[in-house]
Amino acid sequence: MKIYIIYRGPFGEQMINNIALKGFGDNIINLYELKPETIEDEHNNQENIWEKIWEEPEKYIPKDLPIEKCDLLLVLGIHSKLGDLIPPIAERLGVKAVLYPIDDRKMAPEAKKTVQDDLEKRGIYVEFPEPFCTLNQSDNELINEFAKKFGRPKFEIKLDKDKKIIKDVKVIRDSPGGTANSVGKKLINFPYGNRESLIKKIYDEHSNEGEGNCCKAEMDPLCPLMQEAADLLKDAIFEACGFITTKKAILKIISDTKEIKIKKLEEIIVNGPGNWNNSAKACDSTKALNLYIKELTEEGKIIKINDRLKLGKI
Amino acid sequence: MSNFLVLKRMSKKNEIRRLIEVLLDFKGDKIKEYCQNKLDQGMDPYDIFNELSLGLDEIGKGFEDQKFQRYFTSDLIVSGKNMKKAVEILKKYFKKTIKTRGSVVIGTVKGDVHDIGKMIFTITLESNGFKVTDLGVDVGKELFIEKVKEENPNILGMSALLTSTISHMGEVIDQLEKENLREKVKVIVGGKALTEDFAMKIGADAFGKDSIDGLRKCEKFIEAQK
Repeated sequence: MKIYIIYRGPFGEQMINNIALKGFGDNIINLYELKPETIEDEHNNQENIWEKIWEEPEKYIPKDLPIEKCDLLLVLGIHSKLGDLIPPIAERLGVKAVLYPIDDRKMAPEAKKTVQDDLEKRGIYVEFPEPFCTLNQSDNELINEFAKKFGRPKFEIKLDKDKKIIKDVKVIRDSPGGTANSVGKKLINFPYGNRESLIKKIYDEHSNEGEGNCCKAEMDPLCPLMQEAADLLKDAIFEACGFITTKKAILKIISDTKEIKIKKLEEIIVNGPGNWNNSAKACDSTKALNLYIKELTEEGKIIKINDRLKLGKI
Repeated sequence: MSNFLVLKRMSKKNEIRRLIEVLLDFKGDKIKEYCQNKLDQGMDPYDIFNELSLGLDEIGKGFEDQKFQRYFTSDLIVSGKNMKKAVEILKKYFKKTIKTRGSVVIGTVKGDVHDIGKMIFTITLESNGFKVTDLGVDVGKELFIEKVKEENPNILGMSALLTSTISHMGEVIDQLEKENLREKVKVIVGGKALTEDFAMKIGADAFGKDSIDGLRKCEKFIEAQK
């Protein structure tokens, strides 16, 4: 699989660094930093350039963009106004699939649906995982190959049950920015007996700016992508340790109550960011809760009837 | 415009871009190289710092630009970290001692572990002559009070990102009142979850909507205390 990466800034660099070092170094055939400044310079005299770009995106593809045939195009952290350039670029590169993660609303293509339609019209498959570390499985073979190594974190963890510490952590699938790997390392020898302190350690290390590979997703209270990413990481660690994950907690509550309103479930499971001294709380973001509800519904373990949930037959 | 002015403007633009490139380098190698090269050329370390501050300021402006936001949270994190690296490299060459303009005790309130805004504000204050004692993140009211008593700062700064934690700011201000410390220290609050109204409601003296706004308000406090 030949991968071409179009990126911008340190967000993109962090992903590239991790992806290249820990998985696809030999597959990356080219990197190109797509900056708004490049386009501004090339169209120096044009007014309102950013309002015009979508009308004729081909015209604004930077002249120095190297064209090399490849299979998968990764788009990492480019400006939202530049999303319209991706379909014609992808076509020139001859790609079969585009992976365009959204870890910040300001990096999401302004006209996401148009970009998607345009790519599909050109026969190119596209996915927009939001955030990148929600990438799990794909209908597309190329993206699936990528998702075997990077996406939603997955671990194998050994516990020392005598000392009640985490003995060893093996990362099966790293988060694209490398956070799963960096947090995993810091959990070795950490005591697991106190649920609250283990969770706090995971969440703190996930957003620890002293660590180069810390999560850099958006953390606005209105769009808590970083919090969702931390929830996914915590649950991947809990799953590997055999502890109660958010999904298991959801199933237990539904089983106990027979039927529950989603709003009520949210009050129990999410219950205020950071409030981990409450043992019923299982995740920090409603977005993660909704993802788990969707997955459990697809797995047939729960049934959604309007605003209520009950156990499924599986 | 004359050719000379165009060239001058272009060269300034290119220089700023170069600074931004250095500040946004994810691995942090470019900042070390930049500082070392400038020092080797005999440039005053304060001038190097001021030059880098121009780049940092430009990133801040690009982040705030409502019409065309050019930089994002990840850019602020990385540029802040690189600026810290630059200070580490340059500080051993600082010969002159800058007269401290004022002192600030700062921290992110209890329950909140977000550091970026506070870190950027701290850098901005320090680079503008303030002595800053950074208490870190998840700071309880007891520690804030203890440090105000111990250090007698001109200003107490509190930061919070999460809406669930901003109420702790009011508790710290109430405690300052109870311990008769409120008149001795100005209180500035900031963070993404806050508004000016909220800051006034809890009895803060000022709300810093960003690091530059916060700096200007701290400067005003110091001026008024003279």
